[in-house]
Amino acid sequence: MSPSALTVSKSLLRYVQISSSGPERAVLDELVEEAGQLLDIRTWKQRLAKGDFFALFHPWAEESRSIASLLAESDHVWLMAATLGPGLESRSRWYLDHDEYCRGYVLDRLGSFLVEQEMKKLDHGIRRSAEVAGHGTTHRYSPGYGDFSLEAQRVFHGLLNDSITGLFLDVGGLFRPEKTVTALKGELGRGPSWRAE
Amino acid sequence: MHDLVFPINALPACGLVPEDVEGVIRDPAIKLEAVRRYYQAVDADVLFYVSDIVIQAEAMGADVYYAPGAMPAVRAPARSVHVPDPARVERMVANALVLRGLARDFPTKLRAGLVYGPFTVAGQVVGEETLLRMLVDRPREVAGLLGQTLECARRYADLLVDNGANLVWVSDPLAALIPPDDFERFAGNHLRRFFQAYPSLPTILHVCGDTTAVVPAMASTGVGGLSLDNCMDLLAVEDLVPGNVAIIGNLDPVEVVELGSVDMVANRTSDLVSLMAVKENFCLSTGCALPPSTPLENVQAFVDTGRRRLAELAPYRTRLAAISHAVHASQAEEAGRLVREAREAGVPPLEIIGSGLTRAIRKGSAEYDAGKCHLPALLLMVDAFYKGFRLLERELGHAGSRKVDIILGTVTGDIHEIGKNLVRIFLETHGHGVLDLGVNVSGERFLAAYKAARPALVGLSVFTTSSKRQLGGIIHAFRDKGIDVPIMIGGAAVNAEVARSVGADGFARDAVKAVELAERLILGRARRNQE
Repeated sequence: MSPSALTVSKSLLRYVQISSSGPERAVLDELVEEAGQLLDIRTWKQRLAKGDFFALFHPWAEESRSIASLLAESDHVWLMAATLGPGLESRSRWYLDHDEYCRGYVLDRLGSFLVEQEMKKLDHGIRRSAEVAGHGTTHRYSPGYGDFSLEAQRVFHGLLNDSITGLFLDVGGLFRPEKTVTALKGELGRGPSWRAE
Repeated sequence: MHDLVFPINALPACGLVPEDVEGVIRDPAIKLEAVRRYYQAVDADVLFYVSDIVIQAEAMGADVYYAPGAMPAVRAPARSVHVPDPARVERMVANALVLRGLARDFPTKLRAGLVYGPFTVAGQVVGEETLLRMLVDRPREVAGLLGQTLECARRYADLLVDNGANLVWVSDPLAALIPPDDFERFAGNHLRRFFQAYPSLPTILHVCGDTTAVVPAMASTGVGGLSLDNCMDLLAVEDLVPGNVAIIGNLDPVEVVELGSVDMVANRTSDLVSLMAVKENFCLSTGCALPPSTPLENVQAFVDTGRRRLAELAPYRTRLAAISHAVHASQAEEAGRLVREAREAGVPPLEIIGSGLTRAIRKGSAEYDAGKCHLPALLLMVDAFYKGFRLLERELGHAGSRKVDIILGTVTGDIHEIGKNLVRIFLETHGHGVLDLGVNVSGERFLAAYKAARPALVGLSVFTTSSKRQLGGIIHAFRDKGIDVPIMIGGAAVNAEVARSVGADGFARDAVKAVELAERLILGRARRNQE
């Protein structure tokens, strides 16, 4: 991503909890500039028939009442993933290891903000294309939320392996690089009336 | 007024004579003997005569009862209110006589003529709830009543000053209940008129409770010093107090001085002085009156430690204040430069850490807690802290390393570390020795680390819902082995409810709150061990 693609919006300021006038604002400006050089953004999406989704995510999908409820009226399921690559969080850790705690923390928060932005873009793109086809979509849901086991990350990992290199699952079932998010959402055969967004 | 050391009032003196409390309260000879013995043992800078809170209300007509072994209290509001002549009120005359004796026996000391504020006495004579309702329903009547209680306070204070009081002290505890916007109308302007009557004497105002919202109004009464309750963080309000008004406080009189050990009193006193001594207008005191049952050796430890620490820090005050200011202003390079200069000038490294670097972080944390700044701003101060701290750490070497009093780790199955690291950083910058076990830490490793370091507290960090399930097992592992060390939890996956359900002793929602919780749990444990 080029530096010019990153801008300091009000929502970013709120997310990283930086006031527009304090000395920490200058730190954020520098970090935004730096982040532009560190990002290696990759995104991925895949559409599955609902039956295939449940087969693929067996047994975690069946065991989750949240997923059953979310996908009750869906015909298809979209899987999504976004990652920023390892550069940003390595740099954040470097700052924390060198007594630059403000920079380390803010860069970490900036990463969380950016990867969520990427996921939102994916999500909106899917929703728009479904709408064009006259279909509705559900809201997003991720492994680890509610009763949808984090173990489901293993399936995502297997699916992503061919598309995005350098992703690993840690001992707790979380992706490394840390600024990687996965989610699913349902696509309804009928119109967008049920959409939760 | 600065660098004074004294506990508020002299109620523990009641235990130094064979007579009961009522005997002390009523008989000036007994009271004088009690306070004489007290102040011969306790080398305070300001002396009190054992004041009880109902004396003016009783003189104005309130019905007072004297329970055996307890201080007198109001039984019923006054049927009719009048302004007394203190020279004809036996108990007021008794206190004047005690002050006269104190002036004779302790001629070089400050002797407080303690009176109660107009608003507090008004509440006693008409009933506190009635008065608070009258603020809304009948404000003109309140004004008239306050005129009478002000006049009573002034006459009583005149009597005390005429008999040896050379400092005028007003305690106005009920004033904390006035809505801040009404403070000036119902308390401030009456107190101002009161203090104007004593232009040549030092004056002090004490209002109980959290008075943060009215500190500027209290300071604008023309008083010479503000005595602040121990529920307040002096660092959070010090900038609200003008330099020509003393900021006085505020060691916990009950949890620490009455109920703590001598060592705890000394340590807490030293910590408070370390934080506040750089303020030129600081006086060390208790946050409210010491209870009658406070052990004398604890009062002595408070006064002696406080005076010693103030003397130790006085030569370095300017440099330490500059370091604290630089860190608080997030000026890392300046902080480093000032620390180097301070060392070259002979300022001890531990004083630089306590009264310069740590002070600034505690002040920033208090501001964060009050919603005045966000975490990144506080972390910039932390960066400046470490700029100076690393210079001293190198110099102190192994001798400077702190004893581990807290172990921390992210639990099994979870490798999130930033939140846990922030907790470690804030604990360190607040003066704690922390052993960070890292991430994905099993119950066995927590137990082994506990047995090796014997910390006063264990902190468990949990970010994921799956690792949350590990908490109960880890905590039970400690309890099953009879280890009752306090355990606190934090992290995105947990809350206070989870803490209760897994048997943890507390939950902190962020790194700054974690410090507050840790210190509360450590203090509680020290108290339990003492018992």
